[in-house]
Amino acid sequence: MDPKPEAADRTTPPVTASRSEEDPLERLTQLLDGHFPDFGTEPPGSEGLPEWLARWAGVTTEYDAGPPVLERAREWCASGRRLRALALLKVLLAGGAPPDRIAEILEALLGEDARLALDPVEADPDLHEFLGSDRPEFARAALQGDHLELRLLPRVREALGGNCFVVNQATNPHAPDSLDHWALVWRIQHLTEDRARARRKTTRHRLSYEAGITFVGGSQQARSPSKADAWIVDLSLLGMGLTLDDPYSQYSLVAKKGARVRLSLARLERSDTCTCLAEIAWTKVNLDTGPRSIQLGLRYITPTPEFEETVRRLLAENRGDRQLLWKLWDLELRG
Amino acid sequence: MTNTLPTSFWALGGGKGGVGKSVTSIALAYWLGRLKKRVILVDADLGGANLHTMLGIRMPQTSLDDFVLKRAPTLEEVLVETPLANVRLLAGGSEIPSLANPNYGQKTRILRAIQKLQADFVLVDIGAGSSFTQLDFFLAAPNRVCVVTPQPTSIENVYGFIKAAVYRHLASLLKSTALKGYLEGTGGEARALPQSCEEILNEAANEAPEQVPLLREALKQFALHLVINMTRSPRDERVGEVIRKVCERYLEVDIKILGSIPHHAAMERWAATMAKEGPGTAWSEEVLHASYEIAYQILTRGSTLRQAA
Repeated sequence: MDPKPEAADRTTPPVTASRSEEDPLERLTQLLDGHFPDFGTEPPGSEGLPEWLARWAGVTTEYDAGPPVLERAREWCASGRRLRALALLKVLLAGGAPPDRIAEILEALLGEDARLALDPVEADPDLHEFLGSDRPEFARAALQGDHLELRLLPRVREALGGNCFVVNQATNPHAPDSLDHWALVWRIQHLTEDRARARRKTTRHRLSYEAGITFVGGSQQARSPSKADAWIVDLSLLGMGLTLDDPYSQYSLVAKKGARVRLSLARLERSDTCTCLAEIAWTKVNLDTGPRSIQLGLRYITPTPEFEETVRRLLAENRGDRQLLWKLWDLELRG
Repeated sequence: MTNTLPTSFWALGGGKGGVGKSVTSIALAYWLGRLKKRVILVDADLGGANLHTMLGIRMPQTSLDDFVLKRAPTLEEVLVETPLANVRLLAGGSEIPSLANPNYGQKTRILRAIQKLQADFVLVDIGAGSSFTQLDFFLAAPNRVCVVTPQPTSIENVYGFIKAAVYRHLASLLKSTALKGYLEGTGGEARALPQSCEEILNEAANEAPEQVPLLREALKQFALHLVINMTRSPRDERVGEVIRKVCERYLEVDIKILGSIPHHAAMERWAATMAKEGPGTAWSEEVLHASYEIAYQILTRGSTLRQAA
């Protein structure tokens, strides 16, 4: 049974000998399965609940959120208890588990191709919809931004709005004289218009446009050309997705995650180009259809004002539906 | 304003003027009337009502104005008889200039009154354009028909009209004001308007994930029909497929093609002369035959929907 925290200091639960011997994952599993510790009549401060729980469970910065965590999270997701899996990750993150490791677990939960996330991936659709993203780094941001709270059930019933979800509720309240059962609640962060606008900047818009790329340092790699023509397949104010034809694997040495490229875009209604230094965030070799090609995800590093303006104009003038309309018109009625 | 009318209500829109929305409305009313159905034609072109003129009624004794100005308590009292059997007309107003852009209260009052009309079929002829007023009247009907001609301008306008209607419909369901602004282009982000329903759903997944299932269901249920008017060759009829494919890909709505009506010079003569003769004598056989096929589909679909309801 879980020891009762000190009444005088509920935000700093004592660590007993028996607790330290228990694996934090097991302790958190019990909690997330509904075996709540005795919170008394006052819950831990809602603002710092994940941190409080991490300390209570014994999560430290050295804690290795490795395969057992993934296995437990997968098990919960597979049985539809996705919020438990996310709550576990949130607590581990709050306890100092490496963010990259949490992102890896999220990626595994979302689907094997989640990092690419340009096309519909074989992700867990419910998890994706809940987190609002296929991409593990955005999912981790959502995880950090959302709130995990403890509430008394009557209050939960009153307060549960569209942005609140019950993760679990106590099945073994330790204090029968307390006000009522506790519930662990996941509250989605409130988005202000400014925050929504900022988040929207990451939205990728599909379009088709030519871009030139120069691999910075690519010429030093044997047999790897330093320049290539590529097609933009999606675009946002922060990055773009490109497809690069690579039938002879000539770019495989230079098109690597973390490598830098200089992007070049033709400026609209002008004869010159604008450039931007960018970093390859991910790559994927496409062998499914046609000749070999590489998909690249780029993140802008130093966009010039001209480059940003060109991207804005491309986004503003991108009308994929109209393009398809007239293409079909040509084919069906004029062809 | 969405889906507030019973299932026997059909709205005909299409964005562009002159594509034959009113003629199609009259053709459908003519056939439904001949099939012994009680029909009410509603001229919802609030800024340029002229359905009465097409029916040979120069100056209707009563019109929507009488209802708006509260000279008549119900719309039933301002309906006028038409030369078509079993068809009555709610003539559009012309006295109140501001009625072209009715306020929310006026719009709601008119729609509620239309809802109370007693008939087997109510056909609402929407005016040209894609303003919120046109869209709201269009969306209020559970059955929606867009009329398009094979002209590029008509194709462009009808697609724009459908897109605006779908976005308006989704916006009406949303609780998130940030997302509403994004959808209606009122969030100060003219450069980042959604370009497809896929993008809208992605945004909703970011900002209001709990509303995503609602939006998906709304798109799935969004019923829209298409009539291709003034076709001159079988190839022209492919316009329907063009619009259907683009809507399916970008708006994620399913469009059913009700049929096509061939172009015939007799129709232009009929419209130009304000003839007293009804469609039965003045219209060409091909047009009558084609419009009968569409009216029959509406008749059977209306019955099916009523049974289902």
